[in-house]
Amino acid sequence: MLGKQNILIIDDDIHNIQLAINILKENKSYNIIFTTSGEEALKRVHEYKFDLILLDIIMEPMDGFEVCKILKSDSFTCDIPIIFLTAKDDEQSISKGFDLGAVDYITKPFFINELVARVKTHVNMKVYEDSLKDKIELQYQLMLEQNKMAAMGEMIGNIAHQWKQPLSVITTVSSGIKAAKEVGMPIDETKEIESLDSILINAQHLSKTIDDFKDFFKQKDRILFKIKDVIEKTINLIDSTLRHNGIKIKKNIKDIEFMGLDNELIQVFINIINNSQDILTKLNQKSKIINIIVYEENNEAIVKISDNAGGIKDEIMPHIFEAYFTTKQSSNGTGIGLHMSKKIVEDHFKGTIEVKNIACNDGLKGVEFTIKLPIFQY
Amino acid sequence: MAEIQTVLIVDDIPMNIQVAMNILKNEGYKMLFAQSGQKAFEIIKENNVDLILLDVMMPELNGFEVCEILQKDKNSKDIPIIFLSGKDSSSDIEKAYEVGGADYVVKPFINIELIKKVNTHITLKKLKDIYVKDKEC
Repeated sequence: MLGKQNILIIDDDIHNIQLAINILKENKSYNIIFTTSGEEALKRVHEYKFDLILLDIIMEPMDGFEVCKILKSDSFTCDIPIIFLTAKDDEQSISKGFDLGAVDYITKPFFINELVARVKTHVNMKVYEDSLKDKIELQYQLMLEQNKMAAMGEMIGNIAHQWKQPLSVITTVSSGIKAAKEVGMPIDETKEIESLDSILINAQHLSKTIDDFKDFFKQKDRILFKIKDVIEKTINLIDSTLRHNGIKIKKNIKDIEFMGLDNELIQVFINIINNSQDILTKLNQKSKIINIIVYEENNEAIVKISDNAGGIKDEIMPHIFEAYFTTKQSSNGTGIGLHMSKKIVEDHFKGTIEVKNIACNDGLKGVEFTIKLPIFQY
Repeated sequence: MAEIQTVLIVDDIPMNIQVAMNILKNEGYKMLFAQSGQKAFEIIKENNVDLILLDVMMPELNGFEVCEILQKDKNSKDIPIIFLSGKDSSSDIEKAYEVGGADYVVKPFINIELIKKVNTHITLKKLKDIYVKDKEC
């Protein structure tokens, strides 16, 4: 077990504190701090990160039950295990102690190995719990990275598409001028300027594409952003493959401001739109449409993204947000795109994401994702 | 995490087993019982027991002896044991921790105390298993 564990002893009788310290100091991994009043204890808990609190009950003016209540109602201290250590040994007090959220209740006088064992139980429990929390956080970070790499792979395909058109314009125009010069053909001056302009515009377009992609992969700080911009950026990033695949995007967007990592929301939208795109591309139908609607309702931004790609099979529907669930066996599905999207919406935007099959206006079936993002006052 | 945990109650008096089972009935554990140490060994061999509630005062093998035997067997030494004993046997408390018991609860039970202690040691065992497995990887 790494590091020392901080234990706080709260007792108005210094002899009791001394006794407990003498017993517990045998364990070299404990760092013991004490206070003689509840009021002082409530200050100390914010100075250190405590792994356990030993709490006396009969104290003036604030008793141990009161201290426990306050600690359990504060999000910063509510996870610290509390053991009551007290001479009050009636059944009512013991029940009350546990009811208030204490993990154990030791009555005085106690045996040395009794105190040692019970303290060890709860210190160990806290250490294991913390390490498990760290592990879950690490897994989440890994998954985020994995999703980003997968997105990067798809992005490279998008970049290739986006660059084809402007590169071909630049090549055609410049080689045209060169050929004309070489054979001594007279060139109309306004035509020449027009040609150079079109090279310039296309080069600028290429440069802007690079900026867009660079932004997407760079981890930034939380910013105030507009949902309309996020959707525009999303579409810019994948526009050329959408057009290549004959998919039309329809938008009806109310602009709403948000605070957070706009890149993460872009990732969510790309994951959803790419899924629709994958299916639509394989279909032979004439109209391939992805609809994006944003409106405000009950202090939430409602984002609906739907397609007319036939919908999701009933047996698959309950699993689509599970990690490592994918139907794209042959292609590059990682099975974490929608899982990550759900995590981002829930954990980072405190929102919800739902999916259902719908009937479209054109008589086709499709799928509709509804993302609800609570609007906070910033 | 969804798997069901098993609690074994060892007490020679059926009434006491009944009382403990009643208190724990809403906690979602599978409950087994034995009326002697010998019977407990058999059950532990055949089942995956996650926690043992062990009465101290029993004819033939008493609780401490049962605990010592379980502690010596590598198949059972990691199962947490909570001793159960009457109120006026305070010297038992010291002995309980000496022989390797995880905790000690006095009879008659205070319901929430028994429930919390059972939950604590079952969770601790689970977390420890995960922690140890992680360290090995």
